[in-house]
Amino acid sequence: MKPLETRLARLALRGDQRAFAEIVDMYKDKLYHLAYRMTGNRQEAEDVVQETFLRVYKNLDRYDENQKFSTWIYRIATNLCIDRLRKRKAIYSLDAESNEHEGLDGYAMLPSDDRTPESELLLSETQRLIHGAIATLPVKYKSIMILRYLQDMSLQEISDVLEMPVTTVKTRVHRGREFLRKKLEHKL
Amino acid sequence: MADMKCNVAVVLMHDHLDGDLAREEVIQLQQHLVQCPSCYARYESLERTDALVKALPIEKAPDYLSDKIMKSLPSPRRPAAWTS
Repeated sequence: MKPLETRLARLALRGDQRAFAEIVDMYKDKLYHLAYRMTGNRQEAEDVVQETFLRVYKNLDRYDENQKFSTWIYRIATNLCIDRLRKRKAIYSLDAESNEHEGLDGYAMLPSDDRTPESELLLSETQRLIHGAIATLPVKYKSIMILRYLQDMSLQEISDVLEMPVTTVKTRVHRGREFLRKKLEHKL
Repeated sequence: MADMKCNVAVVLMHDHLDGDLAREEVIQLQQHLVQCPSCYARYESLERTDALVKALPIEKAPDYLSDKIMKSLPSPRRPAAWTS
């Protein structure tokens, strides 16, 4: 028997909205978490998740059942996040003043999101530092570190999602880990 | 392998954290770490970074998002019988 998501995808393709709602429920939190860590912004995360499901819905007929559904949906979401980060970077690099924020990947220049002061307090200082360190990772390491650590994917799964060789993924995990270590070393 | 170079040890540290190191290599790495305080410190620091990043809390999607997504989908194509 095909995996649950594959069966749901088939039903959704035949017009069963409830089947698609099931897929949304299965993945919305995972994708939101991914997108929030990638963009560092709740509104953008929400937009990415919505756009991901819309693309999935429109392209159900192109889903290749030989690959895992999760690989496919993560690929769509990760690419949308990467596109946004690249665009953001391009916009900021046109801005002369952005030089002083070099290496921040646009993150620090974003308007703060709508987190309430109460929930802000719930974030420990350590968590805030780690969140900040992840935000400053260069894009090509960021997606890999987030898939590896926050989605708990194996190197092979990451290689499938990002369509790059396992050896490249491995090297980037190593470099990303060193980057985070250096960022956090003297702060923790 | 008492004379393992530090740069080799660093690669093994990462492989170990990836869960990708053979038993024999783990022993070689351990032998290096007990003799080399700076590599030992680096390994501890990497291990801690790993653990802290993994421990970041999961951000859940807002409650209204499922509905918003379902409403944003294009409506299913209707049979065109009566339009022809």
